[in-house]
Amino acid sequence: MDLNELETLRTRITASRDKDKPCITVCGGTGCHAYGCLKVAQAFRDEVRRLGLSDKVAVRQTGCHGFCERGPIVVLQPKGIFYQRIQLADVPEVVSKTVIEGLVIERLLYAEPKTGARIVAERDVPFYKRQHRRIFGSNGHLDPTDIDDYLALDGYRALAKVLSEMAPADVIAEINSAGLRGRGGAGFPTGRKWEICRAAHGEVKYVICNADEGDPGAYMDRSLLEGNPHSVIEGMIIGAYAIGSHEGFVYVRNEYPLAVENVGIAVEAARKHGLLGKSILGSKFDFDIRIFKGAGAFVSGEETSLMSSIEGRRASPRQKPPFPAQSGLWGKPTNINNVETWANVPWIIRNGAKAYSQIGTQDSKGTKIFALVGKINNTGLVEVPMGMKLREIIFEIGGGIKGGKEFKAVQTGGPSGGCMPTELLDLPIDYASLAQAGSMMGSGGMIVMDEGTCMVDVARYFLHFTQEESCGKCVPCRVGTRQMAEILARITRGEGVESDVERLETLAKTVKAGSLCGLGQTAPNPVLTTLRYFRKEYDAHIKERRCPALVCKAFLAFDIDKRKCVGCLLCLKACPVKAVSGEIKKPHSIDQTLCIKCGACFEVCPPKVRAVTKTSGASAPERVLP
Amino acid sequence: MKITIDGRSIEAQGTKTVLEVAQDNGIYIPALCSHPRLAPYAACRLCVVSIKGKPGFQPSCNTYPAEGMEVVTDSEELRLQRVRTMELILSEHPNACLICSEKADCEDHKASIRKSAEVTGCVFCSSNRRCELQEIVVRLKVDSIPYSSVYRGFSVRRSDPFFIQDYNLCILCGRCVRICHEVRGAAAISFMFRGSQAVVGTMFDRSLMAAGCQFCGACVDVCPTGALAERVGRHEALPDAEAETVCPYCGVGCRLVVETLQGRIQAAKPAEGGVNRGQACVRGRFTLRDVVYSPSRIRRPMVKKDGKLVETSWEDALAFVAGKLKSYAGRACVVVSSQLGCEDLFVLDRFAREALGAGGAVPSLQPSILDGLGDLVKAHGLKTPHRASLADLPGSKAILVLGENVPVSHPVVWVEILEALRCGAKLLVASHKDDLLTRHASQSLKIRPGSEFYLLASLSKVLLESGSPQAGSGLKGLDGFKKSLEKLPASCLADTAGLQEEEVRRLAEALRCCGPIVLVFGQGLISMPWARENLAALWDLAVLTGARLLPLAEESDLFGAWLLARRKPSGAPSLETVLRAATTGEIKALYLAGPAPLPEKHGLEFLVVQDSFVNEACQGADAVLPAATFAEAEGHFVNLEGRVQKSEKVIEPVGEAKPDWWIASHLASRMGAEGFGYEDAGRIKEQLDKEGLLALQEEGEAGFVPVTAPSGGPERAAEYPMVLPGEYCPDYYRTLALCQASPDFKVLRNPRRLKIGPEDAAGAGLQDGAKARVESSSACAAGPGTARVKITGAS
Ligand SMILES: Cc1cc2nc3c(=O)[nH]c(=O)nc-3n(C[C@H](O)[C@H](O)[C@H](O)COP(=O)(O)O)c2cc1C
Ligand code: SF4
Ligand code: SF4
Ligand code: SF4
Ligand code: FES
Repeated sequence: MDLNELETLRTRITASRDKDKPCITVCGGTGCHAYGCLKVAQAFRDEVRRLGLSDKVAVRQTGCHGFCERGPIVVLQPKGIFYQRIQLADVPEVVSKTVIEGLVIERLLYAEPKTGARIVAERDVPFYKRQHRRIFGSNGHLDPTDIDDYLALDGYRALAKVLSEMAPADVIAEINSAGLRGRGGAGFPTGRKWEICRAAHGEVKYVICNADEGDPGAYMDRSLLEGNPHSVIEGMIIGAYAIGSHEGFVYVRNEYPLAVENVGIAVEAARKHGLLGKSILGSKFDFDIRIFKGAGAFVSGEETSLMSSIEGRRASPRQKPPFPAQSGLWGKPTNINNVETWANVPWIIRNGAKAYSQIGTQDSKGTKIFALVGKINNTGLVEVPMGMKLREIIFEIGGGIKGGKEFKAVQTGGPSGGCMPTELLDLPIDYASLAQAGSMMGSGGMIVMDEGTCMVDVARYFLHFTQEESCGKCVPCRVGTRQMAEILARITRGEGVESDVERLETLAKTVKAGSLCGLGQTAPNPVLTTLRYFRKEYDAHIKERRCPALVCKAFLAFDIDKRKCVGCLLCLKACPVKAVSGEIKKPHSIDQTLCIKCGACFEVCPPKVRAVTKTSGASAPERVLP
Repeated sequence: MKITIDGRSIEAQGTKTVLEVAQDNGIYIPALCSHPRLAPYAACRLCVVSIKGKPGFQPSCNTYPAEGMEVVTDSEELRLQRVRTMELILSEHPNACLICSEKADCEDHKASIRKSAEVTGCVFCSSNRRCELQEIVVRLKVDSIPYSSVYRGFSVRRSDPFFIQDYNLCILCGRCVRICHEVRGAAAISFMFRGSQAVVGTMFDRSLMAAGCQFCGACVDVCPTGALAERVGRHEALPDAEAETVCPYCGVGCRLVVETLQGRIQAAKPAEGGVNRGQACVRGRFTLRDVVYSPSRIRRPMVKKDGKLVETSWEDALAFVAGKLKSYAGRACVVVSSQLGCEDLFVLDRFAREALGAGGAVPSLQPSILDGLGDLVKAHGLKTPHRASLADLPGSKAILVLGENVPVSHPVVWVEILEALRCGAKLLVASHKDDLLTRHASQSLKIRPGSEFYLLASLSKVLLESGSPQAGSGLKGLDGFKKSLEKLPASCLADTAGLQEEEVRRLAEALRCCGPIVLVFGQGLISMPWARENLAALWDLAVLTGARLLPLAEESDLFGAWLLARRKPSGAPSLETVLRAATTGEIKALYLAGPAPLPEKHGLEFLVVQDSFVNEACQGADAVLPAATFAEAEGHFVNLEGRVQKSEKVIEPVGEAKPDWWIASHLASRMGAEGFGYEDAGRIKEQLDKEGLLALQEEGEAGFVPVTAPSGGPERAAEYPMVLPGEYCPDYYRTLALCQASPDFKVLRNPRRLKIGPEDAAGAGLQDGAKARVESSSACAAGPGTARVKITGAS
């Protein structure tokens, strides 16, 4: 296929599609998968066929819409009616009422949590309203396994433009002036990276798409690959052209079967259409992509480690320099970018650097996709302009904290990001501000924590993670994270000593300054930021022997308020170790020497009574040793 | 380029790391994971330095100098970082030894040392006082650690031969894994798990043995801690002396540092520098001690009295032997081992000729590849093709290996071949087996045993026909060579060698590549009647392509023996002749200073064994004279490159053993021969030097020799349908088999096994582990020769 044929094909696809034809789009993202979207989609297809509407109504399984909290999500086009939490039983009704009769089913609409008002259109849902879904938006409109859908949405137009009008240097200049920075972690200017790789000596050069995404809770890269693989592929071809590479790899972890499958289908389709392979679009440029399935370790996402894994060796980072752009895969100059970085490229080329850089801040341009998770009402994937305040993301888009609780902290950047307190809620999200606050952009994880979260415990959790996920090569990371995790565990167990805080600080500094790769260099962040912003909690654990958030078991005490207890026997029956004693209709009591602090009594005590108390520290009853 | 280290302006090359530049200039930077033989790894993070213009710390072991670079190696900040890193290392390492409060007094009071099952502190560690950690701890002045110690609780692995692995002591510097992969190519060990669980181990946690370990000991030697420790030495105190010797086994002639305690050998370790560049093989590294102190050492002279050997004094023994031998002058022969030093060989040879009137001492390893080449030189008056040294290997572009399983027979040559492969050389192999060698080959041809001639000749033919310019064009004898090639039957390549022309063509292609070529060849090329034809074809290929020849001499002084033999006008008789003459009674006395397969029935009247070990021949001997081993006498050995190397005396002789030269010269003197008053080996060496006997001057013109097809070649014969390739067993010293000397070695290699293809085995009715009967067509099965055989199951 050459350039003209591409446009002819595009025209044919668009012409054959009736914009006003009703289309039932069912989200097929990973979140909705878990809610059973596959069955829902099939049910829609069956229902449409049963009613003999196959010609008049289309059913499309799309990529992730982002609002995973409310899955399975169904959007009825062309009106954009947004239904959520669709069950199999709802299917016939949706088809008969909404698709055929055009009526909106109130019950299936999204309700504003505060006011309870029902919202009809997807774009009016607050979760979406404040987003800027430049990269992620198409996900909801296309079937990732059908290249025609992508072509209908101007797909590969950027590539056509690059191949017909732009020299490699022009492409790099465009990316540079757009101000695109890497979305995979360190935020290195993408154009600069390409330039270095282009200038590097060597006939053979490689490009790699880093789709390892091992941060717990993060799934934007995976959703992009699942939902819009062609945008990533198009970005890679453009990048390869700019750099002078003819071979590319998508490194995607095997644990993401849908991503593996969809990107595989997309590569195959692109090849069939002459968008990959020899003489792409009739030009003199050859490029092809191979998919490499990684076996999921967090550290495999580190670029040198990833390349070592592709080479068939243990995924273990090596010291830089030389940087991959000089000597990467098999010693050849290699350009590696994150999935989202690649997906930004076609947009920039299509719309121009100027349009691109209109949103964002001074040094961070464009949008960024975050995986918003934790104690928040609307969890899901959100794409927002760089520079948006944390507050806006958490309280407007995210709909605030679950269960009406207080916000306590937000952690960005994956397991080695920092935890930021309420005072930093007005921090604009960009590379520099996050770094200054002791955190980082990372690949875009955002974990919201409420008042019921113990920050020492959070630090312990993350250090435990990095300790296990460190590759074990260099001393500071391997042993330092273990020691930090151990000290933190000790503090949460109530065995902390005052010198531990200083020890943690020293360790954190040593590990940060001494580690070989990014994992170790950033692993201490959760410790450093919790020490910086939540020092009081450490003191409470160590000096006052209590956990203010009532999380750390060692400090907890469950007791029964004799004045409130109605003697219902519920807690007595629930206690697994028979620590509760009492008779019916008489106040019960807990034997502190037997209690294992599982909290079963606390959970079962009826809300009307609330006689079981959970306390920590001074107010806790003394534990009498037998 | 110029860089500054701590304010000092220093001239640096770009190829050395900042750490190496600093070390070269006497600037100390602590470093644990780096090793001169290994690629930078940057894991211990002790070697951090500050570099102007770069943020944070940089590992100097992985940083290369750049013009104008300003490096600071010492500052409070750096010191703290290093101390804290060391504290972390120590928190995972039994550390009583390093930071014990009693340390200062410990040296004075400590009574017992290094001998525990589980290492908990220094006094029980085999590496105590040789531990690199200890050194750095002292320099960094670490005296306490603020963290809880973690004992990882691995069980100590002792089931493998030669060394034990106690990964509780391991600091994960990765040197062992890297040397096993990068240098030895064995890849037996790797990292397992990750994070704080990371540990060194084998795939599926198998034993080292099952994981393909060669027991070269390279990992043990680079381990900075006591994690890998040689089994024997770990129960002993530290050595108090050491001496450098030449490894007595194969022709590589590795330099070994032999450590001793109170005059007893403890361990032998490969010396840095020298041919072997810090490497050795399982034989040199782990078996010397067992060999020298073997229970089968002959300790005192013995003579036969009333049909029994009885111990006696040297005086009596010498008198007896000299007296007897005198009467057999002209009807006696001397057999020598080419694992003896040049001094010994020279004196024994003189003894044979001047005192016994024999043609000269006969080497026990025959035929030898060197003799084969020498014969061609003599026959055609040409110069031998270029000889290669080990150092030529890494720089070569193509290496063709024939007739030897190098990884087993000459592991240190293999190390250099692997280095060459890493530098981009092609390894070409023709073999009838699949082994480590063929696995690493860029091209490997499956060839029928014994038919290398056809491959070599065809290669030359293809290269000549291609018409491309050759290094050898214009040299003497080219036309004759071409003509002789044309005379070869065309069908032989496929019929006899089992090769396709296309395969040979591709191999030739690789040989045409620009760049140095080395032809490495061994016993397999000559252990058959048509050895001469093989060598001629090899010779021509070398001349044609300008390749260098690396003959894999099997014994430590084979080259020396060959050099000494050159001065004989007609040469000594072959071992086969000697043995036949002994059987028929043509000779009446035999003097064995080397192994010889003496037939049970022979016509000898007087047999003397001069050896270090009791062997089969002793039974029928009239006198047995205890000879010193290589460790007990000074001497010179000529390795396979022609390099003359001195081996020092390490210990006093075991029992009353005497150097071989001493015994021979005393006998000769007593027998009235002149000029045998040698008092020490130095004198002998002086004479060798004066006469230029060890100097290798190769004269004559370069040129081709004609080739002829082997007659009685490897074509299949009905009666003896199979060809049994002589598999040379390199595992012996003089008459002692290493598996006999060292129980650990026996676990590793047991030579009494016949390898046969599954189809042939089925045909012969053989199953794995069954006993086989081998009948040979060759009348004399002496030596490790290839033979046509019939194999059947033994009842
Ligand atoms: C421990 C660790 C894990 C990483 N994981 C990922 C990952 O999963 N995906 C990713 O794109 N980058 C990851 N990175 C960052 C990569 O090393 C690299 O910087 C990135 O792929 C470059 O792409 P970009 O310039 O487009 O951001 C990781 C880095 C570290 C240190
Ligand atoms: S910092 Fe951690 S993950 Fe990175 S190389 Fe060191 S041990 Fe491995
Ligand atoms: S002895 Fe040699 S082959 Fe075996 S593990 Fe050590 S380095 Fe590897
Ligand atoms: S066993 Fe020795 S050489 Fe190997 S990693 Fe451990 S400390 Fe290093
Ligand atoms: S010697 Fe440089 S990091 Fe170990």
